[in-house]
Amino acid sequence: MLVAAPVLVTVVQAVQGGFSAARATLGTQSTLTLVLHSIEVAAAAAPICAVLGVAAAWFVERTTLPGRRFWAVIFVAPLTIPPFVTSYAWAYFGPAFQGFVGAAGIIAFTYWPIVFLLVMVSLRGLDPALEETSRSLGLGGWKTFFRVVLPQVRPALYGGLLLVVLDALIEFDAFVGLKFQTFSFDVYAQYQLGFSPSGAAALSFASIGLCLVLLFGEARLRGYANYTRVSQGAQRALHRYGLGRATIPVLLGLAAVSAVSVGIPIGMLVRWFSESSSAALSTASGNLKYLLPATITSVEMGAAAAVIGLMLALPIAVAAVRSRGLVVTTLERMTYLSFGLPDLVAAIALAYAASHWVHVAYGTFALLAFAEAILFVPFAVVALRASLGQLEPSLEESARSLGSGPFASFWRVTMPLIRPGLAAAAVLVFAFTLGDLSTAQVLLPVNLYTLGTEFNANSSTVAFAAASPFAAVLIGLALVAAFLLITRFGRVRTATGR
Amino acid sequence: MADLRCSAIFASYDRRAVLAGVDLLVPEGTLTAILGSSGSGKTTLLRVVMGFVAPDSGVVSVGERVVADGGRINIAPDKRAIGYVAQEGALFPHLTVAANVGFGLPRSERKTRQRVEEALDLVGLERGYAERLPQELSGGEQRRVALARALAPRPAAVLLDEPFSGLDAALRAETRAAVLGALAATGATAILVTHDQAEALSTGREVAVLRDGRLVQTAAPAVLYRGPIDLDVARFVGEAVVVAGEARGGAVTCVLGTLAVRGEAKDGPVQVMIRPEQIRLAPTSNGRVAARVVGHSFYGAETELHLELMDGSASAVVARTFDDGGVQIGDQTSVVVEGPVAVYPA
Repeated sequence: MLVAAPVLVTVVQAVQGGFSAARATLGTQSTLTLVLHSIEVAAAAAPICAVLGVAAAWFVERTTLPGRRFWAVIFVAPLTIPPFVTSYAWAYFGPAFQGFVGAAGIIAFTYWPIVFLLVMVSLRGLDPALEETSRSLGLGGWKTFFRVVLPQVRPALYGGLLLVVLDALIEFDAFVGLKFQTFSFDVYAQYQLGFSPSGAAALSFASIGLCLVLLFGEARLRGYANYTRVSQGAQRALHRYGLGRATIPVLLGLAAVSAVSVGIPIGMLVRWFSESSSAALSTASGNLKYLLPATITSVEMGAAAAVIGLMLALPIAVAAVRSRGLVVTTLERMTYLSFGLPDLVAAIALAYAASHWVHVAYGTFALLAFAEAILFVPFAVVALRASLGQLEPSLEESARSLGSGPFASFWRVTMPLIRPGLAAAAVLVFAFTLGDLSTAQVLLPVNLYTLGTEFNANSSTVAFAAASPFAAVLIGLALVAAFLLITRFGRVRTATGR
Repeated sequence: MADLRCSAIFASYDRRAVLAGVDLLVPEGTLTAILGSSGSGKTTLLRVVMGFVAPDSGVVSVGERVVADGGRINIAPDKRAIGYVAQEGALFPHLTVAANVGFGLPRSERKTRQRVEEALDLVGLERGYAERLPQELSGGEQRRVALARALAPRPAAVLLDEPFSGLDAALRAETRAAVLGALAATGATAILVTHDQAEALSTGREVAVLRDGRLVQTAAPAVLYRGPIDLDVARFVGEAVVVAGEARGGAVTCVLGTLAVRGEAKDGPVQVMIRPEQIRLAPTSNGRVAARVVGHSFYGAETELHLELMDGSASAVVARTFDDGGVQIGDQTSVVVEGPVAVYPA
């Protein structure tokens, strides 16, 4: 219920604004155009994410690709690099990249790691006997991939694409540097122009509607299939395919993808540093005194959001993995629903709710952390599910039979085993919170500033040299987060086996 | 330890009836093996006793204590004091052997280590194993640790779910001996669930056959094997030769001659069930049943012979014998049946 709070508040706001006002806002030609823009971006980015994500996951998990760990970290990095940094970096290339191409490119190359992560974990859990059987039945490598491997990772693929598309529809931060306007821009404009929040709220109805369609569609596609391993016994290591002569071309291909997804933001950052004249540098040094406090605020905000996010996500993930009823499915989907709300609207909704009903919370750091946590809970749920799903239920049952109560069993057996999953979930929320701009801009207490807001303040006045130190710290933290994420996502403590 | 009783247990899973009235009494300090094919409901029965599935109706009690009574009483699994050894052990992978075994003990007892060491002794594991992690143990050792863990808190009863599955023959025998030894030493009341006939017959004081959610027969292993309640049970607990016959006055006449009947039989047409090891080869002579050898499989401890009777009926008969007299496929021989046979109404 807490997680769904922004959605509920938005509904209240829209109703208060009156239906005629809502219809007026929703019906305008410009709004329709912007909604179409959002859908186009999502439609263009999703296939790229699917191909890149599945291919990269397969190379990392199932081939003898050299430097697999390194590549995995590089592949996840764009996810933890703040999208607004990427946005300004792409925009720097020139007008051609400030329109639809740039928007779709940023979304595709920022969010494909979601597909990569989920498919990678799914590939890791596959039963090697299935592929061996397929080969023994006379199917070649490619046919086996498309007829045996791909169908099994399909739930992970759809789950990942759902997150990508939802993200694309409501994205705002990633487009701040572009001249391309999407749906969220309209919402932001409504907010900035000082209209009543009901206008923005009414707009978000459109996005929630889209979100519902997507959630329903994904559930239908996925069905209620559960592809986790059913066979028991010691898990054999998966066979890795030798790349042979294909090694060099594959490495070049992966390097090209990385150059786009990680190289552009980092390259631009280096360029801003080097291009800036001494005059710009002095501006930068004038800014440096803000660097440390901004870093501290950002890290505190990320850490607080991560802790709150874990507390919210854990019960949802456990329920989703354990029971498969209508109520639980609805609850789990509710978390995505608030994700379908543009960040900004969610932030406004929470600010509104706080100012009207929980006045002590209004304008506090706690409210901001809570808002960030709610925004990124779906990612935490995904990360926790990936670990929880691998645990044998007999472990907790054994604990119960030994006299441990349900909570004690969870605490003594499940928690230590899913520690990597908890870490992955926390890192995801932390990284996304660090990379968030719009929520922080609305809810940040007046006397505070974060790395993101400082970067944006300088970038929007084209003082890139001054902005670059903040971006450098953000990217540095992002790379650390990427490393932590890749070493922990979808893992559990080693299971019993011979 | 106390006796364990299930009365008229009905349970369903996904609205499909799985248990349809199970009655079972495991006397204090004994082991009852529950034998069932997959889908017979044995896992559900185990989970009802454990407390992970609430029965639709029926009572589960341990000693005087009712732990489940339809929907009215359903004591949580952790409050039942019923130990559980899961398939493949389910050892906690993040804990050492000692921490696994001590898991169910109160903190004070966990610290002194005394009870942990007792439990390890019980299953025949050296103290040196205490600090190892589960992944460093063989499959058989894992099962033993799992039993030690279940026995350490002195439960009122222990449930074992296919405790020897997935072990190779030698390890299986060794692990089985260690497990049965530990259960006997603690005087444990135990239920062992399995789909393996030999395992059930060789471990249980009594064996209960579960079929379609019902216990169709609960008896001592020898009684169950020699006098099964119907032909399905006969075929389930071992190989059976079944021929038509005519019962009269405590004996039955069939293609294998006139044979003594186990128990009582009404006069009239019957089906006769003979175990293959009751059938022996004998030198051909008048009055004996002649047969031709059509199949011959040597297993070491015994030889399985497939025979075709030469009385015109061409009935197929299987014999298991230590001494096959050197017969080969195509040879003619005679057969005799030893001991009483079981008969069922035709």
